[in-house]
Amino acid sequence: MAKKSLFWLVTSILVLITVYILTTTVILPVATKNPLPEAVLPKAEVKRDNNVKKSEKSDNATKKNGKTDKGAKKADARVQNSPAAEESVSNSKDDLTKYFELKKAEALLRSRYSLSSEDSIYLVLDLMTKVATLEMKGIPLHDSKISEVWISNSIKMFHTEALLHWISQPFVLKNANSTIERVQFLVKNAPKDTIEANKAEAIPAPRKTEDVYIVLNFERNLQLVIQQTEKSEGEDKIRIDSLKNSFFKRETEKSIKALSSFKRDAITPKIVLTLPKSDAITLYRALPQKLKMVLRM
Amino acid sequence: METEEKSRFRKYAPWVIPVILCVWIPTIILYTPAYQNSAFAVKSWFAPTALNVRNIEKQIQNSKSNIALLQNKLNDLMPEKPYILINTSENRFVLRNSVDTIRTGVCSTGKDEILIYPNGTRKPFKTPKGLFTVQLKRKDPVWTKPDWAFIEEGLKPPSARSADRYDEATLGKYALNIGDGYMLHGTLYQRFLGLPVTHGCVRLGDADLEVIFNTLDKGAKVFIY
Repeated sequence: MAKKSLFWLVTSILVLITVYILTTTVILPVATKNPLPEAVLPKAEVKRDNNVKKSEKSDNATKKNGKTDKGAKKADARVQNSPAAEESVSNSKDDLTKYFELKKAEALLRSRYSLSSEDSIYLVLDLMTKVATLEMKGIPLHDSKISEVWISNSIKMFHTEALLHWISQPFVLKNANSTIERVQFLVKNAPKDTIEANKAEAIPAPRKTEDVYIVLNFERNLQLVIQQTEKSEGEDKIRIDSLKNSFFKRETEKSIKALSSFKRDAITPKIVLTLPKSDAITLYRALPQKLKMVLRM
Repeated sequence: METEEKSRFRKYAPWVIPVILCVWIPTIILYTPAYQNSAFAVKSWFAPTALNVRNIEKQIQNSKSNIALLQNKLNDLMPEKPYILINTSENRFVLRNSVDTIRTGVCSTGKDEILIYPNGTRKPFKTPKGLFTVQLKRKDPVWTKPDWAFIEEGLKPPSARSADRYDEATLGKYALNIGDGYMLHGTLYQRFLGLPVTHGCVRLGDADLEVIFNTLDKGAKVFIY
């Protein structure tokens, strides 16, 4: 009897834990059609949605009163221009796909144009054509063909509109970790006399560049990983693995903390690019501290 | 025999589910980052099915015209005159005009070194990155050697107007000043081209330098990255 009740107790506790985990990590994202926590969505969009709702209200009020004033017309125009007016309209799937792709292309061009007015280099990442481009003042400086792209499913599961909002503004770099230095200065003391100066090597010793694994963390939780096409071996492999492990450890700790505190933490969408080593180095060394990146996917 | 097996099955079967859960739960917890990114997140579950857009055809037309407008604006940003791109990581240059690549080749850029003077002053040798313009073009340039050129050779810098400061050979046949004392110029050490060996300037081979000098006008853009 005691064994039976112990069995049911253990099973019930385990089932409860399972339900909790499933709810927070799978059911909630599906139910809300958006795995992104609200905080990740740009505030401007929330304001815009409020405006749309307000304009709809005013529109309804005018219709009720049977009046058509200028304000109502303006409000109507706002709703018309809004891509996501909350009114059920049946559109064909092809039209929606076309519309969405055009909006993404427009967002990319708009972001590129806005960044062209700034004085620093920015990165244009087009995952559809698999090209990473360094640009400045609207002029492409360096194109890198991406040999492989891996996009986490947490991005694929974004609701279409959420994805559009998410990529419509340039991403700003928060921090970067890498196996290579951005600038590697060699410190040298001035020779005391000409004899010592002549002893110095005439031909510079070629510096060894370590294998590349770069992790760039952007605002809006995006994590961009750049790795090299060439296979790493020996010390380089150990260095890369230790960087990968440290990230995994940090993410796991974060997840356990989030689960234990009953708080659904923001998902970190991840994109992994595989590039030739030389391109990866060029990209990383050319990037400014406050890098801005435009994404198309 | 059969009854013995049945009783054993009855004894252990109920524990199968808790044992599976015991293994499964820690696995989920431990792999939550991976779980968020791959497991169970099947695209088809989440694919949007209803995006409500009013007047979609009009919206598509609007979007198309916006794209054309933005593309034109971006095209307008392309320099009409030839410009040069310098890649400091690979020590290569690309000379371009608005449509074509005119010439590509190797160059030498900054060696990323800090020279510590006897008095403790630190002098970095690095090619600056960003957008520059050609400010002055000189044929048969004479280099006015700065203090570091002497200190690096273990010499005491002479007075500012000393004849020892003037060097007619080092910069090659042409020099294009891009501001802050930095130049695109020739070199005596052609064998070092393609290596990061300079004090910040960009060194070019003789043939490349001649083409660049004749192609780039004063005011031409120089992008260093």
